Amino acid sequence: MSVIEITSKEHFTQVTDVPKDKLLALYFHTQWAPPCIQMNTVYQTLSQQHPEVSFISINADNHSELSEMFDVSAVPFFALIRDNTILKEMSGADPKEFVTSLNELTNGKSTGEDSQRNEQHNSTAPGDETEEQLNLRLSKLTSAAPVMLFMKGTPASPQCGFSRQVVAILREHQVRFGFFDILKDDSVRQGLKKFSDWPTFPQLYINGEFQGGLDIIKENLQEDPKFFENTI
Amino acid sequence: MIRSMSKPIEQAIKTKITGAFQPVHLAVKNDSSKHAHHAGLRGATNVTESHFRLTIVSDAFAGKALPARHRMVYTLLDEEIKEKGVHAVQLKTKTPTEWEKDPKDL
Repeated sequence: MSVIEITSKEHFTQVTDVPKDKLLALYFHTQWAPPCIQMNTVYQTLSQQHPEVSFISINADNHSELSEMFDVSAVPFFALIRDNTILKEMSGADPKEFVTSLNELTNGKSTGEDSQRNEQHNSTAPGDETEEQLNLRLSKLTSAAPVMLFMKGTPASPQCGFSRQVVAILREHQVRFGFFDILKDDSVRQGLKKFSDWPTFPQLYINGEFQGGLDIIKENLQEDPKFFENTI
Repeated sequence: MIRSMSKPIEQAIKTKITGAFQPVHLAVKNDSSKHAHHAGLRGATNVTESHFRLTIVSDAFAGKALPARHRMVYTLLDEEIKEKGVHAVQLKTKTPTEWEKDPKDL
């Protein structure tokens, strides 16, 4: 079975009207996010390996209503649904997690695990990026989620003690955040230093506005324990 | 003598900050040994003066938000950060009035 590309909201309603025991896979993508291009192929291949599952593909830009319905704030975004229940949702271009969940669910097993709620924002540089293009990319990235953390490593595996501490603080305050691993993209790493006029990482952005590094976040919380509530 | 000579960066930081901000209080702590083996420093030549913790109390910070205060310090230490291998500078920047309320070094 091949992937169904959604053309309208009505089309979506129609194709998701399936028997209770049928597993639905949703894949939100955009044309401008390079990780999606790679995932398109992966998704297509998986659809052939799992004919019992309905594979649905949605262009997040063209169908903002559907994106909002699933609270999609980063692409690629996946959701696995059965009997009107979202069993699993995940963001990012790591196909492994999706494949694992898919296998678990198609084998009739369900996981009690919570899906990872932090969203990784990937954006790969085109070969020759001008400074202007880089700045445009940075301004998109810094506002990719209401709270964006630019860190060394990932929340699950920080590569620097300061980044680790910011993740711990955000979690402690139950702040949902997007992140970008600057070790994976040197043009973002170098560009953001200029963009933020800030030489070090981690860097925290709230609503597209630069907040500071670990010391400032700690100090802000000391002054105002409800800093996040008041700022987000 | 050997001691002071072996800490050229710490000395430079102290001199620069004293000159620029005329702080009423300045504390410079060197945390480099705690970080000598971490990933970001792989292959680095400067591992003895890479991580600093500074507490600066100065009137120069009056009326400025925290990011602006930290930027003033980063700008001053641009050479140390970009060229001398200073990897991290933790900062506490207070005005004398703020400092009185909670006079604790970072």
